[in-house]
Amino acid sequence: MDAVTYPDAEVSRFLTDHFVPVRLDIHRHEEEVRRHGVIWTPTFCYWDGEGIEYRRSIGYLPPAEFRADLGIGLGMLALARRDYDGAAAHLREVASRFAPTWLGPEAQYWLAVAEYRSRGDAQALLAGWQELLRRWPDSRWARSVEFVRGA
Amino acid sequence: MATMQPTALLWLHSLDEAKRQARDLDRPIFVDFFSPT
Repeated sequence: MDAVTYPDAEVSRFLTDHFVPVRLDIHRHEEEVRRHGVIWTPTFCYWDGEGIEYRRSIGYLPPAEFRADLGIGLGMLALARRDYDGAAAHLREVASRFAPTWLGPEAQYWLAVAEYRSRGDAQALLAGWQELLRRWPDSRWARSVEFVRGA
Repeated sequence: MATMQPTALLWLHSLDEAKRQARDLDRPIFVDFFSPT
């Protein structure tokens, strides 16, 4: 992360502009490691201001995948705050710009949820998940919405 | 990806300070649990 991903200009700017970034050395913060169930490094956690976790990713990520992960993290935090339009904006960006990464289909999954919550329209959920099936048919997230195929 | 000017990442190393800044700035917290070795 220190050699490649964090020095990336877009990554560092996005982190700085949208988050309060914290790094905890697991050897110096053993109590936090136990309390938060950290079992491997790197572990990336997305918390609200009270320390409630809404997403966790484990393992090294290259710049594009990490930037996509940050966008999904922001989207899920916005979903938790019921800022559905804000969530949709972050998730739409990831599903579009980072579509070739393995995070594209996850962003599309949650984008459909955000649009459904925003409009209160089940058709938005169905359409979003059908788009997921169409664009990423072999993804793990497509398996989660397999039941909407042909609906 | 890397088409803009780099921004120096300023990491905090305290969760209490991070929570205080998160409330003040109305931003979420990103935590990287890492091992320096």
